[in-house]
Amino acid sequence: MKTKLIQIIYDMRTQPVIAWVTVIGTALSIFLIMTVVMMQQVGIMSFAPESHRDRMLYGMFLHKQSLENENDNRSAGLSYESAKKLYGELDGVEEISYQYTDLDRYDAKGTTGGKFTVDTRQTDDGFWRVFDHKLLDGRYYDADEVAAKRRVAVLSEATARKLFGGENAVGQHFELDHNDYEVIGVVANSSILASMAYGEVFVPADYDKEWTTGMGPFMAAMLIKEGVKFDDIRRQVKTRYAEYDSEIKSEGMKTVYHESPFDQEVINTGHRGSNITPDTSSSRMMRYIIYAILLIVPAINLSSMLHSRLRRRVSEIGVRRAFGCTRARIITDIVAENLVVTVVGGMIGFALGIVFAQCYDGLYTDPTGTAARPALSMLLNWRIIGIAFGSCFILNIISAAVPAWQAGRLNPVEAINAK
Amino acid sequence: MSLIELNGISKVYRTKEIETTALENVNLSVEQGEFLSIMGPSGCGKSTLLNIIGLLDKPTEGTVRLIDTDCNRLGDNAMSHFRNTNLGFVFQSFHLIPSLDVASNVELPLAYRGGMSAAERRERVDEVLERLGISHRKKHFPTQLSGGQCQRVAIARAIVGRPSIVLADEPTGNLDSKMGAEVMSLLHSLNADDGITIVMVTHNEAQAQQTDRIVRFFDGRVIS
Ligand SMILES: Nc1ncnc2c1ncn2[C@@H]1O[C@H](COP(=O)(O)OP(=O)(O)OP(=O)(O)O)[C@@H](O)[C@H]1O
Ligand SMILES: [Mg+2]
Repeated sequence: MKTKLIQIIYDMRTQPVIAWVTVIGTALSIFLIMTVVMMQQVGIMSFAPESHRDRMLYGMFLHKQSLENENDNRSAGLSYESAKKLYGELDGVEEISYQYTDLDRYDAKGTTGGKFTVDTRQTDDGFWRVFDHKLLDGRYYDADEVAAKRRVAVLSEATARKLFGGENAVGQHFELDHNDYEVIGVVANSSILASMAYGEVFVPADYDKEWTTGMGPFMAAMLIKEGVKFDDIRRQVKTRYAEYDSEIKSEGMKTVYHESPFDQEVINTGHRGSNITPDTSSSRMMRYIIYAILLIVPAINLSSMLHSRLRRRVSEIGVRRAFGCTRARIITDIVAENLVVTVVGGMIGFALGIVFAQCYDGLYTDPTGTAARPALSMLLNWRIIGIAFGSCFILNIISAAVPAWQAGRLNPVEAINAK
Repeated sequence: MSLIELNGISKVYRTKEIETTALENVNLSVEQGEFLSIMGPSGCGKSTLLNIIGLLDKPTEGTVRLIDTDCNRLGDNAMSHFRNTNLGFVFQSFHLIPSLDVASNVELPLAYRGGMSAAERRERVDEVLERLGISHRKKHFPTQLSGGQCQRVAIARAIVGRPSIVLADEPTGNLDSKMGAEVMSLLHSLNADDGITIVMVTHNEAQAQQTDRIVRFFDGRVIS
């Protein structure tokens, strides 16, 4: 192994230009791949407070259509009543949260006197069980408080500081959208990239808020039990839709089902069409095409680099063959050697990707398009590191395959005498 | 049964326009422990023959038997294995691997042999380097050595796997007469002390005279 490394370094030093181009080329390609992967992963991987994105389903919209006229459509978010009818107490659901789909930007004023706009999330008590906010002080609101429409609030740490300076926030009062609220808890700040759980101020949602029959600002966020298939949930929801149909028949309406509830992949596409079925397959296809291009184009270049590196070593290959090296061993040795170079380039590229993500705003957005920088801890997760190394590996295989195979096929006599 | 047995060996190189007959119906047997010289003018097929004996090249016609093995039947992997265990090569221009130090160059054949630990391999390498008087150059790279030293390293590499046959193609061709003589005495000692069978191509009549037997070639044929 040590001998191999010495040899690799030696070979690279004798052909420094090719060596540098190879390493930099690999680094850039891994950097691009990492950036795309991170952008994608941040949208689907779990991190607090959305610690179980792989087990989350969201019932967000209702689409009603006239029984007589299929051009007469109504679609929007859910009322609390209809959310409960369609998604309440399904088998296989561990916890459910009824919450407003959108954040409200309200003015807030605390003891510090300044007026701030705060991202306000309106939820029920289930919200605190579905999501994983870290309680720093005080408590969450409970079912009774939500039902009683109590004006209590949980603040993020940063918001508490903004409103009350250094003072202890719990027990204090502040003004939110011209109403007086009591602070009952403080939670850790959350990233805006946690698009369903993020907030600066959390207050009990108004269960009675309804726009037209069945429609309102609500959605149902469900944490599914471990091992339960999403399709099992969807099957039950379909039955609920059928029941709901018979209920609204008297209005002359029926529902149109759009594969609800949605998983995190749909949420990540930024799907907001209440009357269309989300399409993840085309965005997935697009992503795979991008990955393929990002891998294949540099691989072709790296392949020709490797080819010229090997041309200098034809005689060596012949000598190795003379002393008993098999064709297969020639090939695997070249691939392994190339992997070392690719991994070095890959690590540089990975580091560049992380630094870039930390320094450049606007690369990452939450599904509504708001820019946000992901925390370092989000990017340095095993999945992303695994994909980085996997990409290095694939890059290595595609770039080394042809040159290595050619090297394996060399006639030993001609190879030995090659200059 | 001879150690090396060639029967009716022919080798024809075909390119698009021309056919070159490098060897024509060559029969040759070499006994265990023999030191054989092959002589002849340039282009008469000496190297071609050595490559065929070394299983690096295949004859167009004829059979190659080495150490009671019908080598015509061996597949590529089996041939690699056979070369690894039974044959050693010494080339005119040494062909050491420039990116490896002396010890690693010598270790090469052992690296392709299963069942030896790294420590065992190193031990064997040290033994051979000691024997050829180049231990002190162990960590040097080929470019830091003289021609004579390079050829010693190459000989060390050829014998480290304890082969029964060593094939040397003009081993002193790139050396001055003093270093050439040293290399020759080394080969003689391998032949005499270790019983290694040696087939050597040379243009040097005096060197050839010191060996057990001389086979002379002309135009792809054995003439004496
Ligand atoms: N790969 C090849 N393709 C075509 N012709 C070849 C090839 N290799 C060797 N020959 C021809 O075969 C003949 C024998 O070559 P070989 O190398 O065996 O000669 P040699 O006796 O070793 O000569 P020298 O003393 O110069 O090394 C020569 O005419 C050479 O041109
Ligand atoms: Mg020759």
